Amino acid sequence: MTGAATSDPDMSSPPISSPPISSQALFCRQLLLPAAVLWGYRASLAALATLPLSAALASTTAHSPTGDRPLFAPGGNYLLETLRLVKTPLMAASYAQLWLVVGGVVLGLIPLGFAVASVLDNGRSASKRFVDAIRHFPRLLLLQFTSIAAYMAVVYVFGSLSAKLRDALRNTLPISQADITTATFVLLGALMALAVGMTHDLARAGVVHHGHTAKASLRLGIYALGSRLVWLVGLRLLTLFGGALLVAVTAALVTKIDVHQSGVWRVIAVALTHQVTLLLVAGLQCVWLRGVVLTAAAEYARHHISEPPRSVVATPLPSS
Amino acid sequence: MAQQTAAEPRRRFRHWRFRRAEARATLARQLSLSLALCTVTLSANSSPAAGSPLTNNDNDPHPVSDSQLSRPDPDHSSKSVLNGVNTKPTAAAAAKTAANYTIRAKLDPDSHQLKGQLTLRFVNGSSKDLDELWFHLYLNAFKNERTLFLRPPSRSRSGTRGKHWGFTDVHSLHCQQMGPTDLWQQAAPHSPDDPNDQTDIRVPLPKKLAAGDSMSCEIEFLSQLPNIVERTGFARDFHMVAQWFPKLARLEDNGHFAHFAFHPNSEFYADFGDYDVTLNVPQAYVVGATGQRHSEQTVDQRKRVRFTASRVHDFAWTAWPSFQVRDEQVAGIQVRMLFPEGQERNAARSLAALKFTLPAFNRDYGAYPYPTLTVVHPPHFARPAGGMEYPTLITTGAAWYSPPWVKGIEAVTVHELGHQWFYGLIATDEHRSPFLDEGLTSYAESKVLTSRYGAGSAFGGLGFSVSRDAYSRAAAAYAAHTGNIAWSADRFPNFRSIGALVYARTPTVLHTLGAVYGREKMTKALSAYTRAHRFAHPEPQQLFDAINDALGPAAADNAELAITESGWVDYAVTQVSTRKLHAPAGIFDKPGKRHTVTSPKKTTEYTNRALIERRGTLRFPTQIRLRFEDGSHVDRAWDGQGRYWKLAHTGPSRLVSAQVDPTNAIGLDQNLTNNARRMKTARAPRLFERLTYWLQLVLSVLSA
Repeated sequence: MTGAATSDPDMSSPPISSPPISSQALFCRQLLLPAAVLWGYRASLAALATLPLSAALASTTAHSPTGDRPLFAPGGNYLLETLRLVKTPLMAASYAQLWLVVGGVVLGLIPLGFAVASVLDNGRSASKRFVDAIRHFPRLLLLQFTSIAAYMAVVYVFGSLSAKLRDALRNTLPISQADITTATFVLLGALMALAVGMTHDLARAGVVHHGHTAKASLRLGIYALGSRLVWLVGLRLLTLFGGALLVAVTAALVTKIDVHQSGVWRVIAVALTHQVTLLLVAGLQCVWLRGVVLTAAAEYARHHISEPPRSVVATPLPSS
Repeated sequence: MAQQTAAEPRRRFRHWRFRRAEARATLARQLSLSLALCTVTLSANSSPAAGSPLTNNDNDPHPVSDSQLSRPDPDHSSKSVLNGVNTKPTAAAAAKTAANYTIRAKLDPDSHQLKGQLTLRFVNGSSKDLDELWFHLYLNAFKNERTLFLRPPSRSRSGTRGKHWGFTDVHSLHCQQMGPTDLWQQAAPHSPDDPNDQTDIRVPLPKKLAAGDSMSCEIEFLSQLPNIVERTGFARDFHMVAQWFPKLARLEDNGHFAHFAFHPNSEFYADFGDYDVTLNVPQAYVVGATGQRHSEQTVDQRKRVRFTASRVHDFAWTAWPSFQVRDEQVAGIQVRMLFPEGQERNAARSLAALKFTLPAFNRDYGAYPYPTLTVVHPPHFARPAGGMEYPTLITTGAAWYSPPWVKGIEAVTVHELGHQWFYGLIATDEHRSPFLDEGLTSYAESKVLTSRYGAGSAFGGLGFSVSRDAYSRAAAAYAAHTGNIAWSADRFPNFRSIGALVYARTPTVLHTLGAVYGREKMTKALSAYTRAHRFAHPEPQQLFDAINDALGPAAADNAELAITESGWVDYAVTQVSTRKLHAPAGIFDKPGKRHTVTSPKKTTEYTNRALIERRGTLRFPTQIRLRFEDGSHVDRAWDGQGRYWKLAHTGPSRLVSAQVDPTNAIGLDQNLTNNARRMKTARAPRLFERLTYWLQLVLSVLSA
């Protein structure tokens, strides 16, 4: 096991060790840079994917005296009219763009891998981390599929059980109480899904930082999740709710700016607000990923040095 | 001018029909006096509630006859609104009470059966002697899958199918004036021309019932409720009991019964009458019904609850042991809310909606004349019973967690309340002209909701709003060429088509008329229509007449075209140009001299041109707004009569864009996106920005 872990010179270096560096530079390298990469990738993909859709919709406002402002008018009169008229081309364009988005999400594992590698920088250059992310892409993809399968299982199990529970409770309790009880059960399912997601991220850290196979990384992820559950759930909820709060505040702010009114500044202000929000959301994701990587590294180091977990011992770590 | 000439025959036809209606009205007026005496006598003699709410005065132009029904009509305000509009009631408005029912029914909650005895007191208010009666046995629509209602491809509106079949069996029918014979023995076995349907049954009379004569019949029946299909039936121990007794078809003035087999697209049509109904139900059941509760007695673990309702044309009721009850006075009406536990918030929202809607409807369409209103919120397992209207009883429905920014519960409450006028008081033939009840109710609903919630009248929250008018307009445009608003219910291919044409396009027509010819005038028109035909059975022509009186013949023409002939319109700006004005070039002869201008002197002015087209059959006057480079704009009026208009304007600034109907008054405009044309096309930065942001959010969630 140890031999396997040390066979790769990169993997043999202690995961947390970093060269002396100023905190400002550290912030830039370990948080800002990965967040910017995630944001930039998503922004580019979104712009590329929405271009044909917005072109289809914009054809209806090309001759409007106030441009596309009526689409944002209260009441939705022009918006509904536009959707009615361009529904067919819009659906066709959406279908075509869907594949672009799916492909983009898959390839998005590379910038995500880069972010995982960067949040706990061990001194390697950005380009090297990027190359590493490409190298780990197949394992990250395998983890992705595994995670999706696990999500689907959770949704299926909790979905079918909650439907049965709801029907049973609605026969005996007032409908609101029955639904709230069912919702509590659904919340358990959501927590299970959250656990799947957290395990997935821990496993990603195992792949990127320790060069584990997908299987070994998953085992490490499960073990790490079990040992530091409260801390991880707390951090996860904090970053998730933080992101949701940011999006909600942004929505309120953008409503105030009201692009239905005239003024180019409104469009610029809204665009800036949105993009800053998305950058911050990516930043929160990096904070979470850093927590994940630290946890995985700590668990790895603890068991690697003294008493490795049975699951990790059972499966020798790969050399690359 | 040419278009006005083309419209002339239609107007003449309309006026001819109006004269024909007047002639019918005169005849009916002559009959009404004698019939009134018969009716009053019958009510007073045979009704158990004689002397209480069941008398009426047929000569009263607003025939709300007794103290319980005579509510103050806030017409003081509306009289000024109605200034210049003919509000005199027609003969139809002074219609007779022609079918009075006294019913005793016992509910078996286990078999969901009703055993009933019915006394029908009927006046032949028509101009002809009668040799037949027509009864509707609506529950037979749910008897099997071969009935007109349930057989493919129609099925029911919601697509639900019966698991427990329903039916009404008439055991006997004896009429005093027809001798001791059981008339039901001679009844037709099925609906006309449809051996699989038993909802429309003819009963021949052994001798004629002369015009003006009355008749009293005793009917014994058994009704088996189905599981709730649309509006009636049971679910577990909940019972929504509607269309449950043998019901006489409406007798028209010409002596014909307006009878029809129960079609899944159709609703109902009946004569006004006085109802006295005693319901025998298990003691634990909470009962709500049409009319006023008069008494309640408990005997042997069962209770007998007696309800009376005067001048209504149907009687529905509900019974469920788990109803929560909330009583409140709203605008002088005793409102009873019946709802399941857990639905308190929706009940409160319904009540709030009633509080702002009742005064508005009272003002616009005449006072609600009844002392009570019952609002039933069915339990979740009986959802198809929700969203229906009966006289003085409506059903609503929404999920208990329905968020405040979705106005679903408010919309259904306001809509069903609106039916108390457009169905309840103005009792049009819902089978033949569904737009007169559903269409006008949808208009009234959207008007009230818009005045209350503005742009968010359908949905308003999270920085985004959709109005009911916008929703109706989009549906109306979608369905513009698919059918006719004025079709009878059975002609629509499906309920979606009725939804788009009747529920959505009718209010869009009326909103357009209001926006173009004056909203106040539109209010006057409907106000006059509803007041003149209160407690009557008007036809589409009466609506067009009211529009003609209040908004003028051009509006009435457009209304009639849009409603009866699938009229449509699409205004479009198809060309724009702008050129600097210069002195003309060429060879000019002046006295004794020939002058050639090769390079004419340019001026500082521009000639701006726009070509505006009107496609379709409707003609609305509208405006064209020209916008110029210097930020100014000019509005030019167009009568909208021609097929196109070449608009030229000279001014100091270049044209930037031309737009027809800049205020979006013409909701019927088939395509809003061609209403303007720019010299230089615009980009859509807001749209691109917003779509990109949303997709970025999705990507963030997917990789979170």
